[in-house]
Amino acid sequence: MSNDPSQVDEFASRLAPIQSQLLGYIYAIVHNFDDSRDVLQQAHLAAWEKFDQFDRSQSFSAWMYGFVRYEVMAYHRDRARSRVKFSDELVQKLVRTEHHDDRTAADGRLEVYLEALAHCKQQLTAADRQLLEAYYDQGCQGRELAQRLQRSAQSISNSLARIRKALFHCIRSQVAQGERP
Amino acid sequence: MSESTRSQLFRHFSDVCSADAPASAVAALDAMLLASDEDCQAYLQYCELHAVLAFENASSQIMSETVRRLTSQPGPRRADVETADSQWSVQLAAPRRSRLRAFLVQPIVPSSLIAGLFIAIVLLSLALVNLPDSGEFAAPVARQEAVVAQIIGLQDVRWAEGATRWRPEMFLQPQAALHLRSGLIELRFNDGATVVVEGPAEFVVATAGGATLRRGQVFATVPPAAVGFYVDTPTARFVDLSTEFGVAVDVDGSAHAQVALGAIEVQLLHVTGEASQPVRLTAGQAARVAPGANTVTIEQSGKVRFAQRLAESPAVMIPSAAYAATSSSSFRHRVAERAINGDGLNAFGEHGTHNEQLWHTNVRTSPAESWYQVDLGGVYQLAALRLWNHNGVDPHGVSETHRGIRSADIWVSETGAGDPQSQPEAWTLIARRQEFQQAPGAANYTGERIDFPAVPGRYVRLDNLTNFGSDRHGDCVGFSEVRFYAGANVKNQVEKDMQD
Repeated sequence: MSNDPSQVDEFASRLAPIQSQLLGYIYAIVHNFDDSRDVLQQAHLAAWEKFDQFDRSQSFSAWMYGFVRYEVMAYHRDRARSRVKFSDELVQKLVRTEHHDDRTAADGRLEVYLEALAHCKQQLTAADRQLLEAYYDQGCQGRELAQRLQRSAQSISNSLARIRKALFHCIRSQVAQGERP
Repeated sequence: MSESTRSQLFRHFSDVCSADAPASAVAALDAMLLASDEDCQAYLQYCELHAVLAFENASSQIMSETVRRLTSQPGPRRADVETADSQWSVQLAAPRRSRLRAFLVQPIVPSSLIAGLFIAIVLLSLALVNLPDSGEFAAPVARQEAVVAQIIGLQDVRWAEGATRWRPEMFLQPQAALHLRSGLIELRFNDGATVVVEGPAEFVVATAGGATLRRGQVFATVPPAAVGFYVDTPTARFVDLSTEFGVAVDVDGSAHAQVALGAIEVQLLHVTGEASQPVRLTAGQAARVAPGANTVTIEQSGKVRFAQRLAESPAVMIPSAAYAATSSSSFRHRVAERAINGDGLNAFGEHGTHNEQLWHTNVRTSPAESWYQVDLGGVYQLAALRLWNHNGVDPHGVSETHRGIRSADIWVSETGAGDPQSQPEAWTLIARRQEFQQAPGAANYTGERIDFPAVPGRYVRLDNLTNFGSDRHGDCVGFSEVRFYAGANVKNQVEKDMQD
């Protein structure tokens, strides 16, 4: 690994736009944000150590996913830590799924995604937006939020499921529109 | 896939993301995803959405932890890495570490999302936080409409029993009553008129351009911009036509007026027909309206017998409506404008704790490199400022007052050319490392006034800022509100500038 300071900047600038996607990818298998963070950090470290070997003519995203997959599989081998246990077969399938391909390769893809998210959040009712922000602002602690809002945990869970589903479809639609010529 | 199956699929997605999924649901989702590549993609995208929504909180922590690990790790993490142990400490020495940290914590959320988050957070805050007084957090426009005048100063005031004990700089809303047994109160109406109330008196503020005198006497100085300012008495309304005039109400309810400069109109109340036609009074004239009278008795005026000024007129707060603010950076909607627009200030000059009703720098910037500058809209003989430091408390009740200004250099300029470093000849340093008190994070916070030797200036710049500490979000600095005062000896200039 080179000592050139510009390496740090380059590594950082390449990493930033795909952070959320990497985290989501890990979470899809790990099902736990705390553990997902650990996995992502391990992938950061591993990638940094090898960064001077990265072929600049290749996709950084694809290269980075290689480290993430390795770390996810390493995590999955320690199944005792996993709250939600998918079958090995499914984990293998998810790890192989090319989630990152064309979408992450495109410059500005994250911007498009986040703009779509912002737009779609505006389509929610004020109450739904408040609930969504409350949930994520409090570290996804649904039960605590339920107590605070004096609602049942199931009611909060149902509302969040409905809101996320609406956002999911709205974002898909928005991104698809944005990709049309 | 049927709609019900699709709904079930998304329900499983949500349960897994909420960590609420029972084993049966995990098994069902496992089977569904194994059966469909499309659903696998959808699942990954759904988890990405979940991560993005949580990203703002999670990312900085992940990045911080990554940096910590990178910078504390003595050697390669794995045996297959050939990097020497010593290289870590070399390549991640302090300058490098700060560069990496600077990147790793840089915001990657665009303004559109920030705007959405801000709206939601504000709504959430209003919904969830136990507000001490909902009126305190009213929209700026509503608040500004509600405030019509401000107390400028008091002199030897003895309040009537049970009366509100107003203090200098307090804001007055419609129907605010000044009930004093003796002494003088000077107040300024939003339209620009200045009134000195002399006790014993009962004086009620009505609008930004008018008031009711029930008893006692007042003297009004009305600049052209405030023409139409009126004083109602039990028998007549006295309307300014750009002037200085006094009005007195005797114990029997009769009203007297004396014009010192310019002209006024006297409108009889409670009468109709021809007698209700206004009577014009000019400088040197006086008038009397007795209770039940349907005529205005005009008299020659002697020496003006009204108190026109306080013996020692205090510095005048420069109206904030003319302020414009800029800053080195800001965070989301906590922009420079937020610290001059009166948002969060109540009628008593107390600032609330809402953490969106203030300005602070971006959490990624260094306080020492930050600045805040106000254009007052005209040159004044500046004599003081009042700063309500960062009084914010987050929606969970956690104080953020450590983000307040601990110290700052205060610069003043008449031209605002460049900045104190690039064009020092254009700026005057009036206080170096001026210290400020940390705000209490309580709703009754009245800020802190800093007086300094009067100096002419239009632009005021707070520079070389320090704060009371950083937090997990970063290192930022800011304050809730600021106002500036012009010296009493330039009071007329203030009024002239207001007219201009």
